Amino acid sequence: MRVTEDGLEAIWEESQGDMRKAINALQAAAALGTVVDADTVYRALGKVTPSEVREMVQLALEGEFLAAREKLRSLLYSYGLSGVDVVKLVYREVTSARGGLDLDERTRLELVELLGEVNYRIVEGADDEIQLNALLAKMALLGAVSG
Amino acid sequence: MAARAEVPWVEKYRPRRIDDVVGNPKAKKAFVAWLNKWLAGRPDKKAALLYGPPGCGKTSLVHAAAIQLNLELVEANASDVRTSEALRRRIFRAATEGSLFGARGKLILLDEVDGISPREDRGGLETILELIDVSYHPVVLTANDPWDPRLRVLRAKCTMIEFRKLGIRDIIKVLREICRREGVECDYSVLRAIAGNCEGDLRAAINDLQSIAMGRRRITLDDLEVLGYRAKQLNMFEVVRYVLTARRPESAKAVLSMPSLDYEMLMQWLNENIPYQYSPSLVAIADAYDALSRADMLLGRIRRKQLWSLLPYALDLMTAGVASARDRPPFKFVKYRFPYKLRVLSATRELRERRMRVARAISSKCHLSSRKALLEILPFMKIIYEADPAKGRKVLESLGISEKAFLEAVGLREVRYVRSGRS
Repeated sequence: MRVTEDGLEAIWEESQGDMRKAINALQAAAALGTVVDADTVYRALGKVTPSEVREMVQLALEGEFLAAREKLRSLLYSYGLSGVDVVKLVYREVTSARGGLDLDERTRLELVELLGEVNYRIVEGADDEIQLNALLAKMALLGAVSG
Repeated sequence: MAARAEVPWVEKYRPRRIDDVVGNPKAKKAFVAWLNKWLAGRPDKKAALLYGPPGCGKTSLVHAAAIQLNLELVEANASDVRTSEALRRRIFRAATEGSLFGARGKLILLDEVDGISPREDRGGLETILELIDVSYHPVVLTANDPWDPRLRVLRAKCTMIEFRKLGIRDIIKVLREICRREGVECDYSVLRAIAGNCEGDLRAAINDLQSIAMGRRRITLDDLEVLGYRAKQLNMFEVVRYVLTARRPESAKAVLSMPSLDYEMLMQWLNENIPYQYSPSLVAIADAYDALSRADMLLGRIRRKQLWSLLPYALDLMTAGVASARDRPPFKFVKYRFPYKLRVLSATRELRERRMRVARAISSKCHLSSRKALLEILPFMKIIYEADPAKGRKVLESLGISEKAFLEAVGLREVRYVRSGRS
């Protein structure tokens, strides 16, 4: 197999020094084509995060709270993710370079602060869904204000 | 999934004649006698205090009397008169002026005088006493509990009229009439169950009936069972409605005095139903969830550290806190839902367990936690398998995981499995 320079660059960019993630990304990208370039890496990684996460974030920011809550429930109760898993995936979505989320920096930072708070509360013993619903409701407001 | 809104039957079927108000014949007679004295000239007491448990017809009687005697009804919540200067002026002007419509008289109604909080509404009572003194028109007050020592001066100025809980037969009569007019066929046993469950509170009974009847032509006792609307849950509908549509945040706290209140359950019911009651206001939804999430955070601390002293704060937040959301839409009657989490958690257990079994198999081979396996290995395996089943199978083999278990866990369908197996 052939790996291009920008393919390696993309893997490094996305794995941020986590070797397991880097090797996983390389292997997955290699399964998608004989040449591993930035495009195959991003295509592979695009599938790693359940598509519900991106959809949930987008729906919330569009003010579609109930639809966003449906996605959250699918992640928690069908995928079996924990609340902290979801927080981390949302964080990845919000900070990722390839994220298509149209957020101004202020809104993004407000979101990051909220994520930190929700993460802490859940670790402390709070209810996953209630805390994440509160987060989605705030995101719906943030989206309405900044959009 | 949008919740449907409808006129509350409690408003739609509010009696329009004094005779149509069920129960409490003595109280009705006393009230009409007092009102007639007012209309004939001078009454012994300028105000009447109607007191009794919720949903026994106090407000309905006043409404019906105003309609039947052609009086202009000016009504307000007692506490609001104190807290809102504009409302105060409106009520005082109404009480001291002749009626807008020629010779037509007026009736001033102040609800929930016992809801005046002594701390925040200092002077609230004085305001009401002053209103009674200056009013040219009959003033009617209502209260659930008039025996609070603070209300002593007020009691002295009022004709006291006691209302009692309604009997089960009166309640069934009203429910049956509503069913007839709504074109809903309803077994007597169902009406009996609802009436027996509401503890003499007709408002609660009508709200329960509307919750159950929504979208149905016919209700049988089996429906009650099948839908899981048993006694306790009927109560839950009412509790949730009480909290979410409380006119003032403090009055939402009244549900806490119910001896059977399961507050963990209430959290789940509120979590489910806040958006149905408060949409389309994103501000109200966000505010309500903010309060709920803070209550939940405190409950978490209580559970983990046995800090029971935090409970009052959590209870306050989940009731008054939720009800204090800004920008709440006007009251509408929406159908509440049973909490999704409680409904679905057992139904999806099988799927979650399948995923966890595969995750555990990965975890033991790759030396990481099964959570990490679920999030960081399984998705990659799925990508590889989808792009190149042969490679994917090799990975599965090396981890000692059966193809079938894997496909089930990642939610790939059997058809796909057969096709890719042949390619």
